[in-house]
Amino acid sequence: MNKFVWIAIIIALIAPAIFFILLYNSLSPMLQEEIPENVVVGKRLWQSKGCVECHTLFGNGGYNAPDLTKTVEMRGKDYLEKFFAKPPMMRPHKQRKHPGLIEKEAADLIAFLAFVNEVPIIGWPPEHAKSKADNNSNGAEK
Amino acid sequence: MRFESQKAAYKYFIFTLVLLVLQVLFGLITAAQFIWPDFMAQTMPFNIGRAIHINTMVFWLLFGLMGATYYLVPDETDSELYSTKLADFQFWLLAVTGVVAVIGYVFGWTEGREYIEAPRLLDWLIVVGVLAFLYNIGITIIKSKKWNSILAVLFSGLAGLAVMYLFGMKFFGSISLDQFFWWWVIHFWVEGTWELIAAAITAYLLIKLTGVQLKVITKWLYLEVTLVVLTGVLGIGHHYFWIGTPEYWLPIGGIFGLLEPLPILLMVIDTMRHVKHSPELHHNRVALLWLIGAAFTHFVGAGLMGVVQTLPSINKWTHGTQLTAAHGHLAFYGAFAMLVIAAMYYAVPNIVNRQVSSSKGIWAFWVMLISMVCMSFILFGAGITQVYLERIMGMDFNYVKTNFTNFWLLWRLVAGVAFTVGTIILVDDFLHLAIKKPAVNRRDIDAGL
Ligand code: HEC
Ligand code: HEM
Ligand code: HEM
Ligand SMILES: [Fe+2]
Repeated sequence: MNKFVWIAIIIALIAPAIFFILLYNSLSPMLQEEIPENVVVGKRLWQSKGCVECHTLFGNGGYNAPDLTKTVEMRGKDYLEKFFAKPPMMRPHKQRKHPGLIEKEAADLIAFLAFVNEVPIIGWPPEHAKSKADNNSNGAEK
Repeated sequence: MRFESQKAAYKYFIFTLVLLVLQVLFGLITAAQFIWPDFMAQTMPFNIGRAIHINTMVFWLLFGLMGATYYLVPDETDSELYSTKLADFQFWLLAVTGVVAVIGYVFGWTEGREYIEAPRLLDWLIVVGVLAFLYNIGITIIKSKKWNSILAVLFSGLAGLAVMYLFGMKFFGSISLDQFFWWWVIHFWVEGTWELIAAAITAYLLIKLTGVQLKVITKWLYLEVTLVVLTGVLGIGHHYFWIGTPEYWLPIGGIFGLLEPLPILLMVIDTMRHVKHSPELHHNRVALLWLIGAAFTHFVGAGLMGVVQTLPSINKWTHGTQLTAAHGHLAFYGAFAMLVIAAMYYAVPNIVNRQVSSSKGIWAFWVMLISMVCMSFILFGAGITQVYLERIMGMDFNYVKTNFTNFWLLWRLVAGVAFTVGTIILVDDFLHLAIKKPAVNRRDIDAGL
C-alpha cells in the first residue's frame, strides 16, 4: 500500500512542478507592467458597479449583455462618453435605461476599457463578430 | 450516529437548504428577466439578482460540504469532535456573514467579481470562520492519530480550498493578473480542491451505503486524486487562452483539459462497481440513489460538457456564451449539489434518529435531475444558436438575444419552474424529517429505488 501511495504522489507532483515553472514565466511580465492610475480607478469602478454580472470582459462574466473587450475599438471614445452621459434605453428593456456615469467616472471607465482593448489576446473574439457587429447600433447617438 | 458531536452537522444542513431555496428563487427572477426585461428591473436589477444567485450557490455548497465533514470526521477518527462549541461559533459567524453579504448585494455593496462578490471586510470574516473550521477538524484528526486515506484527502481538499480563496481577495490593477488569479479560485476550486473533497465524501458514503472495505476504497481514492492533480493543475490552461497570457497555454489547456474527465469517469466506475458487488446494501436507498445520480451527472455535466469546450480551436467560438452556462449549471449540480444532498440524506436521518420515508426523496431526485438536465440542454441549444449567429455569422449580440436565443431561454425558465417544484419537495421532505413524526414502516423504506 505504502509504495502505491508514494508512486501516486510523485506522479501527481509532476503537474504542479511544470505549473510553477510556467507560472514564473507567465507572471513576471504581468507583474512588471505599469498600470496608469486612471485605469486602476476605472477598474475599481467596473467592479464596484457590478458591470461584470451583465457583461463579459475577455468572455468572462454574465451573458445578458455584449462583451466589452473590443468596445473602444468598435465604438470609439466619443460614442462611449455620450453613452454614459446620456444612457439610452437598455435594449430590450422598455422602461429601464442603462446605468449612467458622471463625467469623471466615465473618463476613468473608458480609460480602463481602452486599456482592456489593448491587451494582446490573439484570436479572440473571432474576426467575424468584431467586424460586423456595428451594423446594429443601439441608438445612443440619436 | 456513533458520536454525539456528529450533531454539529445538523445546523449546517438546515442552513444549506435555506440558501438553496434563496438561490433557486433568484435564479428564477434572473431567468425571467431574459424574457421580460422590465420584470422587477428597478427593485432587483439583473446584475444584483445574478450575483445573489451564484453567491448563495457557493455558500450553500460550502455549508453542505462543511456539514458533511463534521458528520464524517468523528466517524472516521473514532472520536468526538475537538470542540462542538467552536463548530457552533463558526457556523454562526459564517451564516451571519453570508446573510450580510446577500443583504449587501441588494444595496450594491459588492467586490464585483463573479462567484467571489463578498467585499473585503466580509472576506476576512470568512477567513476567520474557515480557519476555525480547519482548526477544529485538524485537531480532531491529529488527536485521534488516525490518518486514513479519506481523512487525508478530505483535509488536503479543505485546506487547499481555503488557500485558493486568499488569491481571490486581492485587488489587482491589471486586468490580466485579475483574471489569472480569479481562475485560481474558480478552477482550482471546482477542478482541484472541491474535487478532492467530493472524492473523499463519495468514498465515505460508499463505505457506509454499500459496506465496501476501506482498504478497497483507498486504492481507488488515491488513483482518483492522482489523476485530479495531474490533469486539473495544468488544466487551468483552458482559462488562460484569451486573457493576455503567453500562447503556450493553448496546447497545455487543450491537452490537459481533454484528460480532465478521466478522474471523474473513475469515480463513476468506482461507485457502480461497489454498488453492484455490494455485500449488503444499506436500507437507506434514497441516499444511495442521490449518490449514484451525483456520480453520473458529475461526469456528464462537468466531464463531457466541459471537455467539449476545452480545445482552443473550439473554445475560440464557444467561450463566454450560453454554452458556458450550460456546463456551469449541470457541473455544479452534478458534482457538488447532488453529493451534498446525498450526504444530507445519509446523515440527517441518523442525526434526528428517524427513518427517511423514501417516496419524497425519490420524487425530488427525479424532478430536480430531469429539470436540471433539461435546463442544461436547453442552454446548450441556446449556446449553439448564439455561437452560430453571433460568432460565425457576425450578427449583433442584442439582436441574436432578443430574436433567437430567447426562444430557448423561455424554456429554460420553464425548466427552472420545474426545478423549483423539485426543490420544494426536497425541502418539505427534510422538514418532515426534522419536525414531524416519521412513518416508520419498513415497506415504505424498502420501496425505494
Ligand atoms: C443590468 C445589466 C447591465 C449592467 C449592470 C450594465 N450593463 Fe452595459 N449594457 C447592458 C445591455 C443589455 C447593453 C446593450 C444595450 C444595447 O445595445 O442597446 C449594454 C451596453 C453597454 C455598452 C455599449 C456597448 C456597445 O457596443 O454599444 C457599454 C459600453 C456598456 N454597456 C458598459 C457598461 C458598464 C461600464 C457598466 C457598469 C457601470 C455596465 N455596462 C453595466 C446591460 C448592462
Ligand atoms: C430554478 C433554477 C435555476 C434557474 C432559473 C437559474 C437561472 C440562472 C440564470 C438566469 C443565470 C445567469 C446566466 C447568465 O448570465 O446569462 C444563472 C447563472 C448560474 N447558475 Fe443558475 N439557475 C437555476 C439553478 C441553478 C442551480 C441549481 C445551480 C447549481 C447548483 C446553478 C448554478 C449557476 C451558475 C454556476 C451560474 C453562472 C454560470 C456562468 O457564469 O457560466 N443555477 N442561473
Ligand atoms: C468538476 C466540476 C466542474 C464545475 C463545477 C465547473 C464549472 C464551471 C463554470 C461555472 C464555468 C464558467 C465560469 C465562468 O463563469 O466563466 C466553467 C468553465 C469551463 N469549464 Fe468547467 N467545471 C467543472 C469541470 C470541468 C471539467 C472536468 C472540464 C473539462 C475539461 C471543464 C472545462 C471548462 C471549460 C473549458 C470552461 C470555459 C468555458 C468558456 O470558455 O466559456 N470544466 N466551468
Ligand atoms: Fe476549468
